[in-house]
Amino acid sequence: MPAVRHGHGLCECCAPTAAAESLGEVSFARSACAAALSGDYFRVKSLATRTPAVLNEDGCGGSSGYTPLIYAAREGHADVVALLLELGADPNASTTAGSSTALHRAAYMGHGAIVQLFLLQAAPQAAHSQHESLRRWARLKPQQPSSTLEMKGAQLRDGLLCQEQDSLPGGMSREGSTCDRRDAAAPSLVEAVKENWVGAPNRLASHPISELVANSGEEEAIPGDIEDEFEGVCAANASSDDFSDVGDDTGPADTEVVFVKEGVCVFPTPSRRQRIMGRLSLIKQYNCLFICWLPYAAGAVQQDVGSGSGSSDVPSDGGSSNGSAQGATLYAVHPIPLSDVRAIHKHTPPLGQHRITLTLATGVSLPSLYFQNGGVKAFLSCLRLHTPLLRSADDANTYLVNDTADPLQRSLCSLELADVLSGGPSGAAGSAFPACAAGSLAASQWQQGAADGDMGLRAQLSELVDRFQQLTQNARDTASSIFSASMLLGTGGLLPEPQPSMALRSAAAAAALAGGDGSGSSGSSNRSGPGAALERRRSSLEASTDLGVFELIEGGAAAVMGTAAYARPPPLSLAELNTFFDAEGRLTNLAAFKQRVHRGGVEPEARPEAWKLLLGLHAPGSTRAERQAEVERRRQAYQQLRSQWRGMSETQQARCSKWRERRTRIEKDVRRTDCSHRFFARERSQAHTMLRHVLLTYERYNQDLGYVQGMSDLASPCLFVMRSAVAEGGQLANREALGVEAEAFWCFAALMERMESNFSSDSRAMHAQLLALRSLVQLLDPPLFAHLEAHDCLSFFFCYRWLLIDFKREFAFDEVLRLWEALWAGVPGLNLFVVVAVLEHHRRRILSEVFEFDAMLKFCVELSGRLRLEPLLRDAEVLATYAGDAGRDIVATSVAALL
Amino acid sequence: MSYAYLFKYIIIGDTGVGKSCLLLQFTDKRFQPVHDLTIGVEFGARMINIDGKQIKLQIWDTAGQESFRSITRSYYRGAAGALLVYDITRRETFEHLASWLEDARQHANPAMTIMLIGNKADLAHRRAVTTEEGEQFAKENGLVFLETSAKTAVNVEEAFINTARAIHSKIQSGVFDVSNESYGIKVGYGAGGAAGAAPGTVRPGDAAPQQTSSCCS
Ligand SMILES: Nc1nc2c(ncn2[C@@H]2O[C@H](COP(=O)(O)OP(=O)(O)OP(=O)(O)O)[C@@H](O)[C@H]2O)c(=O)[nH]1
Ligand SMILES: [Mg+2]
Repeated sequence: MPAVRHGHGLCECCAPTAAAESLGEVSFARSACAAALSGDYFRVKSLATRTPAVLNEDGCGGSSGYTPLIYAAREGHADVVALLLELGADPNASTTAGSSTALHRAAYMGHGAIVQLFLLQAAPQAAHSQHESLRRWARLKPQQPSSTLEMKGAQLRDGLLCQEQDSLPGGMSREGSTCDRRDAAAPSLVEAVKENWVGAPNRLASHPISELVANSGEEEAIPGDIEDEFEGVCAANASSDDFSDVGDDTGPADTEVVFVKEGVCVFPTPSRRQRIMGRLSLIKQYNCLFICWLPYAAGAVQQDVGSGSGSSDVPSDGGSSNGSAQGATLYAVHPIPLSDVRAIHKHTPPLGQHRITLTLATGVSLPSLYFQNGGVKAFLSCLRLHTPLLRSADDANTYLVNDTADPLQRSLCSLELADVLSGGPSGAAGSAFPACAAGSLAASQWQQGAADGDMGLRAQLSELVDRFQQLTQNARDTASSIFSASMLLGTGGLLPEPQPSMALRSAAAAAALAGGDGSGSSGSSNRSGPGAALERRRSSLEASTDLGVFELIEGGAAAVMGTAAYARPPPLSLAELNTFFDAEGRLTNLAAFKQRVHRGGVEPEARPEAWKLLLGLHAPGSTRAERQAEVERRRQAYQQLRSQWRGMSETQQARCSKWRERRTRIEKDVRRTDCSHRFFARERSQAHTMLRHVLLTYERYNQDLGYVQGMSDLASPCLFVMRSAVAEGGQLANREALGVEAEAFWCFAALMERMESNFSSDSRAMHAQLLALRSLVQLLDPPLFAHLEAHDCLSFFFCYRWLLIDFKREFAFDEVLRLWEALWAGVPGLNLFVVVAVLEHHRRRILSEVFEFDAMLKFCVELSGRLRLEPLLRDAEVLATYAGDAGRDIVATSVAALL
Repeated sequence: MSYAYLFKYIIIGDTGVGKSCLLLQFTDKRFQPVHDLTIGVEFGARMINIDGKQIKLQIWDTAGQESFRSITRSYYRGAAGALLVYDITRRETFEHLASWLEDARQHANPAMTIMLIGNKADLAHRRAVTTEEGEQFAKENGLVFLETSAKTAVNVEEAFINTARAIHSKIQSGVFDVSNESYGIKVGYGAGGAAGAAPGTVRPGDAAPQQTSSCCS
């Protein structure tokens, strides 16, 4: 590879001499980076497992910042990306030269699936911090990839990449590239595009629009104080002077800029402390209309001093100016054919800035474009001259651009939501909120549900209600985590903006809830004055959150998430499980292991071992030999516990009525556990005997709790899995059976550590969880919350069974195993998010069909056996990300209440 | 399927007395000796005919164990009828009747019709509660009484249908205001001049009224 391509002088690994260079190439070829580049999953895995440090190496001992993750992401090897993330690769690692992260790379290359992987797999903060780039690039497969412009866009991206690739270590340059980068600073995308194009006119087939855009973006940049006024609308027939560089084969006659608006900006962060100024244009080529927004040159990111008094004490969201410049380019809306746009939503409040949001046919919404100087109307009228715009019947502010799109898609994506917003067919959401404040209403319900006369518990529960209310309120006060979560998925703008009344109602509901004492209205009126505008904004943020969630789940789950994007890895096999151990059998990276299990589940043959690790029966740092010894020790301990009841004499038993009662109960219930499962199908089988032993022994082990119904449901999968470790079929010899029982018992005991409080006699833990759930729904889906509230369903008792035994009765037995693995390996409180996901999945029916507690309960009970596990797991995770810190606080509070 | 009324029933009683078996026998006409214990609540429904009127029974089969009591209490609201079940072979299930009754009185509509059921009558040889004791308890508490067997189906139809008949006659005699749903009665289409279709009931156009039910008898 010619050295000329490394002329940037930044990459230390690329020594100027040919010899050194080839040495570098050799070592690179053996590196994890090379394996990642070629998509060699197993090689990456073995290299990275053996030497985790390679995750941070560029493959040739240099400081280029390249990592295997970046290579894999760039090349589109989703499986390798997933693997690397699981192994703990830093998703934020970026190249020295271009400050590009793996996510950027995947986005540039249009690898939507990988972008989604980052979203779902990377630490939420990582995804969060990068979500801006995501928003711009998360365009999954465009509907019309064949459009010339798309191709051009891809070429442009390639061009930019080629430039960066030139600086790759190890001579991994792109063939035929002649890019020559002169300075070390990361150029803005626009600059890069231009430079690239100018520098390589022959390589890239020139394209009028791209040129046009690239040039205009660059040359029209207003240096310095671009906060100032702009000239406003440049009329529809913009002077060709602005685009004097245009010159190509097609001729300007075929390309016309029909609309230009300066001073249209994007706010990259929820706090709105920054904005990126740019130009919006409509360009017509042949008969195709393209929409385009490009930021002015680097430096166009403004710290918006006008927006807040205390801006100085707020850390800059954009980091260094370099980062900001890069950020700006990420927002660029390169010419998009109008045929790729599904809807344009305008938001023109009487006070405040006007803006539009573009929703693409893929379901992705681009960041809102703010018209600093007005002009939304002019934009729309100009647009209307060139393309039919259909005002949505459901929302006057939404214009459907391609109303001929698949009607099914359309109904999924917009119509239903509008229904919901306008109160649904029922008009339920439109009904007035009950005068009684939600908080006190719910509290009284719980108190009624709680053991009568237990004043202590009552007091504690109402205290808990208060705490949750506080949390929800706090979340509303910041609103940022949620807001950005919804932005993260780029769903917010797809749907018609809520009518103000709706937003206000939801704000009022929030205020009423915060008040918790029926003083809802006074609570919100307290917020007049300077806080009022803020409040207004907040309520619109909340509403867009609702939309986001709804859209995510019911409208465009497939479109937004991309079915392919959620590439569930295959279940963890025994062979792969072994790769997580070092030579002595220590689990080297518990987090990676959990991550892997969480994503893909576990093969049946690997389950016994995996479960023991997940449940903490085995310390992760234990060696194989230590674990072996542990098994033996546990067997003896179990045998001893078991003999406590086995050795009880008749007279002894006769004197212990509690024991007798529990024993009878267990014996009856063991036969009534998983009756339909083949494992227990034969009555009085060995499986029953073992299950009975496990439960009886647990009664002795934890006499305070004893036996409570539901526990047999938890014990049976433990037994099943531990039984599967021993050769299938036939009766087990006593000794073997004892071993299986022992392992099942300790698994069950460990599981009970997590679940025990669910079974306490005062139901405190269940109440705490139901309260937490209530707060989460309120946080994530205010309209649904309002609906449940209006129909007396805030007790959430309809979720009781789901939570009590972690959905054991809602899924098929094998699915339960998979679900539990995911829950044990996932974030705390994931079970609550699964509940929310179930509700979200059935949101439409709940809103349109459920009008009372009884109906809700029946609806939920009858969902049993009809839930789809994988989408629920996926969406539970997304919801947890959405809920952000507020969600974590709520979960933590409910957990703390159990202690 | 059209109906004149929908009655909400709730089946209560200690764990293992055979509540789920009774429901299954009534709705599916079969006895399944083993099936999973109930957690929370399960639902069943069947159409019956009282005096030429189609009545839909929506039956809530609750969990019997004490630890679920607090949740069970939230199910009483709006029940028109209750089957309070004990197991004639287990005395303690009979002895717990009083506390069940107290719960019902406290959380259900006072007008709820309660049927006392001594189940597992087929196990006469293991009887621990005499029929007279059951009758006595029913009389003292103003309940209707029947001994049933979910296994042999003896008296199962009667248990559910007699309860419905009692509720129906209360409607006829005006004890119930059927427009008030807290009585656990909903008026369906075909009730003739009654209040309009309530949510959850059959709406006009769903089916021709006065058709015989296909799922009952
Ligand atoms: N011989 C006989 N056995 C019965 C009869 N009814 C129920 N059983 C048995 O009693 C056991 C318990 O019955 P279930 O219907 O599950 O009891 P349940 O009242 O629903 O119990 P929970 O759901 O725990 O509240 C079943 O396994 C049946 O085999 C009956 O009429 N005769
Ligand atoms: Mg039952």
